Amino acid sequence: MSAMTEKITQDIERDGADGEPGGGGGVSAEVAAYVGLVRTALRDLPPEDVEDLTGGLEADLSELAAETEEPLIARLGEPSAYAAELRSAAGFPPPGPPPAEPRQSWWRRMSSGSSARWLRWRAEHPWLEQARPVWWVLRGAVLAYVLFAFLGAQPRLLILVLGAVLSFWAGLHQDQWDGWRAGMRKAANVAAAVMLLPVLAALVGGRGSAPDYVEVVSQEGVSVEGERPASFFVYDADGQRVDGARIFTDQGTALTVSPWDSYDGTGPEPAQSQVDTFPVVTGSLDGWNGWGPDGWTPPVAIPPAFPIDPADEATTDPSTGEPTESVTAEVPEEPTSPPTPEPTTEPTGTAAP
Amino acid sequence: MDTTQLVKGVLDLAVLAVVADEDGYGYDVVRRLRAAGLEDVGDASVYGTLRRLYAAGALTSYVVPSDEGPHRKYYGINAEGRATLERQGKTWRSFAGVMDALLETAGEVA
Repeated sequence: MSAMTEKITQDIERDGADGEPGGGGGVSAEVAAYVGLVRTALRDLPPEDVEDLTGGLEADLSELAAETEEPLIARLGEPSAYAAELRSAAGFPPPGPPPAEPRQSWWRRMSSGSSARWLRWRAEHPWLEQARPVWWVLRGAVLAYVLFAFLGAQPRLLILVLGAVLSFWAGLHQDQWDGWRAGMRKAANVAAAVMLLPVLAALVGGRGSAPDYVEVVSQEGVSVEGERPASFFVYDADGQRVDGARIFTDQGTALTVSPWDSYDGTGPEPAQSQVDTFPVVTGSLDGWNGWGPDGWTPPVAIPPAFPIDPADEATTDPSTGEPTESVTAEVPEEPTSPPTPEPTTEPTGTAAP
Repeated sequence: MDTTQLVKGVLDLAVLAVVADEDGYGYDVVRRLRAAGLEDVGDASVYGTLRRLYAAGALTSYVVPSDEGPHRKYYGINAEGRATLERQGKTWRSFAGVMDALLETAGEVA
């Protein structure tokens, strides 16, 4: 009822301004509003018929209202119901569906509604107009990134710039577009808007994941045939093991490896991130043994690099006899030392090449 | 018995009869119908019926301006209306006679 009263109040003002033919002086606001609503409910009929049906209604309802304290709505029912009864008694067909608007798909209705909202919003916020080129650039970069990421290629800066330039160019011309190109524009805007945050996140977070591809090159240490050695084993000219060897490049850079590469999880953790003395001693590994089933087990000695010259041997025979002996002397030493650190992984005797 | 449906069927005849007695405006006709005993008659139905009879040529219509209020729209019966009233009145009387006889027979049985 309160909603109705409100509506009636609105109609009072409207009827007052209209100067209806039957609406001379002396009509109460209630009567004017009621008759106004009845006429509104009949507005699909020709005006002459409406006048025939409701002509003099103000006078009659005024008389009715004067007879009783009861509100008109309580006495006569809702104006719409009153109008329906009037219409049917007069032999008019019931009101058809509202004529007007051609049928539209829900998508078209929704998109036209949203574009109307968008237009209004744009009008209320003029800065959006200036921000459009920024969006065009972002849009192009984002779409280029997504496209190349989708193709499996690592998006390069040049690609992003190219995409941004193309998009900017499109932005300068897109307002004249219609048909499929307008559809493309809309699709591109939606796609770029959706992908904007994920792409930004990938670009920012990419610094963490990029090492997978890049840092192989820039990483400290050495690469041999694509593998990163965990240690080096140095033998001197006589084929004897060298402990604590340090190796330098022609630029004077010390070769280093990461001790973590050879750390097997047992014993104390490596103290340094890079080690430059070889063989690497880390954890429970002493450097010369226990490189696991995949690793190479360095032999105790290798053949001398330079076969001993008989003449040389002759001159140094008394002093150089020892190295030859030391080779043989160290062989029996081997079994005694390994059992102490790690008896189970002792492959020395059999795995030697 | 709900007389609303019965009234609908004879409203044309009832309105013609009232207006034939004396010209009247919408609410006046309503009031006279109710005074005659048709309590269930709806205001809008009477107005609509007046409009339909007028459009069918059975009634005349004229506006009476008022100094202190809105104008009134009066309806009066014409020759065609009277002919209709006479014809429909006969139909009603014979119909009512049939109904009376029917009910009288039923009353004897009961």
